Amino acid sequence: MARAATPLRLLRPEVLARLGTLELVARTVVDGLTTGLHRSPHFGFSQEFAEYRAYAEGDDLRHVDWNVYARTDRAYVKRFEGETNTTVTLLLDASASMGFGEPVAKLDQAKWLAASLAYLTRRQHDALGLAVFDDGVREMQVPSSRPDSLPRALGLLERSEAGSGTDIIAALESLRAVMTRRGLVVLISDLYAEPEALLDALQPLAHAGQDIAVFHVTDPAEVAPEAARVAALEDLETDARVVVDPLFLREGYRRRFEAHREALESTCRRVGADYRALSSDEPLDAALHAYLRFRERRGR
Amino acid sequence: MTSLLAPLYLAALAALALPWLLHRFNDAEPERRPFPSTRFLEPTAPPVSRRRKLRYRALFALRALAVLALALLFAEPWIPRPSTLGEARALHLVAVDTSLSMRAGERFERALEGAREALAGVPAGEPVRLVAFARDVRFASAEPMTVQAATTALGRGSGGAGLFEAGFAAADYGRLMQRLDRLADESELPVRATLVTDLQRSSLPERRNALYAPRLTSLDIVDVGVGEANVALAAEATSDNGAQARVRVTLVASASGTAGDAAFEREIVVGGEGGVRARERVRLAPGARESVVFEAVTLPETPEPRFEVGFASPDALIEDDSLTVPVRLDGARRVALAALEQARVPDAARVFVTTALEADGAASVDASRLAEGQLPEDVSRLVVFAPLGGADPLPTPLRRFVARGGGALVIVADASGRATLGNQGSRSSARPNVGGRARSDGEGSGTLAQRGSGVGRVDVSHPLALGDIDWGETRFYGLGEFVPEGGDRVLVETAERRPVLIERPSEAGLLLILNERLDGGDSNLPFQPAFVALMRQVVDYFDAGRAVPESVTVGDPLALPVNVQVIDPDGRPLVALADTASAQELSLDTPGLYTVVGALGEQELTVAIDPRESDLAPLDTEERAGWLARHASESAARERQPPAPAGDARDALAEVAPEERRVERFPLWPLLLPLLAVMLLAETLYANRRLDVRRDGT
Repeated sequence: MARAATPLRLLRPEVLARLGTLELVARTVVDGLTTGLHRSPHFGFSQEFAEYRAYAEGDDLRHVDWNVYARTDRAYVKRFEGETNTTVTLLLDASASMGFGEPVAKLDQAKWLAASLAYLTRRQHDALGLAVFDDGVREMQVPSSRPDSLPRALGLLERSEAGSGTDIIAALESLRAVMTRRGLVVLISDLYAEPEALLDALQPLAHAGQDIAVFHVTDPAEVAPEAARVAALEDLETDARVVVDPLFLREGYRRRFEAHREALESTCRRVGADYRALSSDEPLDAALHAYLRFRERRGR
Repeated sequence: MTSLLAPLYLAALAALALPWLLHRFNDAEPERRPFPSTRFLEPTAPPVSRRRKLRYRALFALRALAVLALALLFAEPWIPRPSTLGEARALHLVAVDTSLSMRAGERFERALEGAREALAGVPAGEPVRLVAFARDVRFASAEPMTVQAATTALGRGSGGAGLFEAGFAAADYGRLMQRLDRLADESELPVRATLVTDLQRSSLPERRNALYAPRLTSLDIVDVGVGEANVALAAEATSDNGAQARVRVTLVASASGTAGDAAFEREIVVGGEGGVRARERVRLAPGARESVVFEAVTLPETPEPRFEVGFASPDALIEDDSLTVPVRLDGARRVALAALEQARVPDAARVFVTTALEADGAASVDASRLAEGQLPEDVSRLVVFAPLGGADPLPTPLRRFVARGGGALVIVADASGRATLGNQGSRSSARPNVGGRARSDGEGSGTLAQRGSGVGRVDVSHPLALGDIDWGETRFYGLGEFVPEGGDRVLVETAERRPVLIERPSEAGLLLILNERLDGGDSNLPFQPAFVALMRQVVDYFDAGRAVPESVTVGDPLALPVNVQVIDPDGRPLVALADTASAQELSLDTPGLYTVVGALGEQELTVAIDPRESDLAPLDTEERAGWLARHASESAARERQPPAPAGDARDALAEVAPEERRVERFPLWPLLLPLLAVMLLAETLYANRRLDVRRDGT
């Protein structure tokens, strides 16, 4: 039975910021979306018949449909639409740059998204993994289907604060060794990395059979900064200070940022990853819908 | 070489420090803001610290120059340039009397000659200003002129726009001297004045102090009067029967001359259409005023009878020797009786009103159109019976009549459809039966209604002079139903505060409302002497309130109401057609009999000469010496004065060397001001372009 959808206004970042706990945020966001729309596309062992498949060596004989065998003299294995059997690994960038944004920081928005995806994952009975990184993997929760995987993940998210510099490449490389099971990898980051390097980091994951979704978290003041006069902008990660002209901020910077974003999107396409930009002032429902469509396309 | 009029303002140059501080110590530290990553940023020029050089030097220069220009502007710099006055030591002012008295004999010719001689005495190269004065002071040119140009202007005489020809206005020496004093105050050069006048005593101001113009350096008077004997004539004619007139001629002799002098003997001739009607010889003493009355002079048989009254032989001032006298028909203050269509006019009321108005010949009542039920359009005074009741608006014909400038006394009447009030209603119960007199029921035995109510409050401040009327025995038993509006002025009310006489204000005419029917029942007013006095004063009030007077003096401003045309004695209209649509003020400079044409017909307007001008008596020696003595002492004191202190620029100018007087100051502010504006504009553009100023609303 479909539940009543949460009004969209409840999904606005400024509203979510007042909800207090990530679990409540996740429930509000996910329950607000259409429950039941999402089913794990992976076949499993439930009561809902999906199809027959010719028996192959190694298949469990308990799944052979003997009635069909009797009629056709061929062995078929019944397949059922399963509730879960995939692994979702959330990779959250908690670098210093993610602490940027008013009134909702990019990191907050990223945490809400991660929490929502975690909640959604566990509702699907998928295995949930979470890694929080900045210039290295700060904390890691290996994928697990245990009931406490969600509270642990939420607790980890709650504790995550904007840290130091970013090194997505290094983080992805170190995580690659852990993410051995095929599944979904969701990268939530502001992606301050060279697109080519990101390509190099994502490609091994893709080759390992991971379906990758990338959420590029931005802030309006980062995409289109405004300044009334010459301003000294201080890098949150490196403490470098750059004095810039307002004219440049309005024109040159925006041009460069947009080019960077396009390059990232192109990189994601090249590795088969799904790219979705998410602004810190944007309701989460659109991002979650994008995630669900992504899973549907990937059949997981 | 540049000089400064207010060098103290140069202290403002200290403000130059402001732009210097602004550019050197301004808030060069840019705003510090956190940013997620600087990888896409491009550094701009580094901020200026206090230890560095001035930034935006061009902008600094602009701002410094603007401050400099501003300080200079207040310091009022000027540069010397050759003066258009050359080596002039004084401004010579020649004032010629053009008043009416200058028409006597050869006075004005002598005046022109005297003015020429005065001009001839002006040193070569000295500036001159020519002045014509009578009632007003008029200059021949806006700027000083050369002696040659002044002589030419004087020579043009009547051809020079009529400035130097004798007019009809009266001179006023006080006004002249004060104007010359002001001119001397404004002049950079000492002013030497020469008056060319007949020195009429009557032209002296009432306040003799007005004669003195201390700023004049010198005052000379060229007396062109020769003490001619003159007799002025004034006359009025009235007729109470329309066939014969009573002409009263008043003669005023000049105050100079000797008693018994034959020069003061005059023969008065009263003429009209068809020849001389009367004449009489009179001998006056100097300064005497005599009146001669011609009784029963036959009126000319013209619609507007006039007499030509004058002397058989003219004297020195012919302008006051004759005049056209319109005949004022006594009883000609025609008052029309009228009634609005719905009004029922009691016979008694008509009789009471007519009798009261015609008492002592104060007015003649025209009741011929009473039965028409419409208001006549060709009269200016109207007694109209109209049914006014409650708070109803005034009938339209009545409002229209008053709007045209007429005067109307509205007597509240019953509507023709109603029963006679004497037989009905509450009013009848309060009214006596006979003659409007209160019925006496014995000592204190009658009711208040039977006793009636006396006059309570009277508005004694109103021009109707109602306070002069003895209202003693007047009693009101019932009154009309008229209810005054907010703007109405109750002039008379009963002791019970019921309105009896009300005035409704009107911009054009006059409107009085008598809130009783005058049938002898509402009150005993028609039987009281107060009623005759009231009606006469109403008519007087209507006449006094007329927009255009019957007589004015030459040069006096005449206020004209809307839609009025003035025809001069030669039959020429004086008000442009377009101007008649609005109220005008006209100054009539020529005496004579004018005609004022308005909505209520024509009215004659006599423009008389100022009687003071007819008195050709000159100042006596003592008066003249007193006038000139003060100026002589002023001049002597001026000559004895040491060089003037620096603060008195004008006096200093009179004493400095001729080389310095040849220059005049050329102010530089007209150059500095636009320069400053340009610099400020450039500063704004530059600052907007180069500094971090928001543009385009971003």
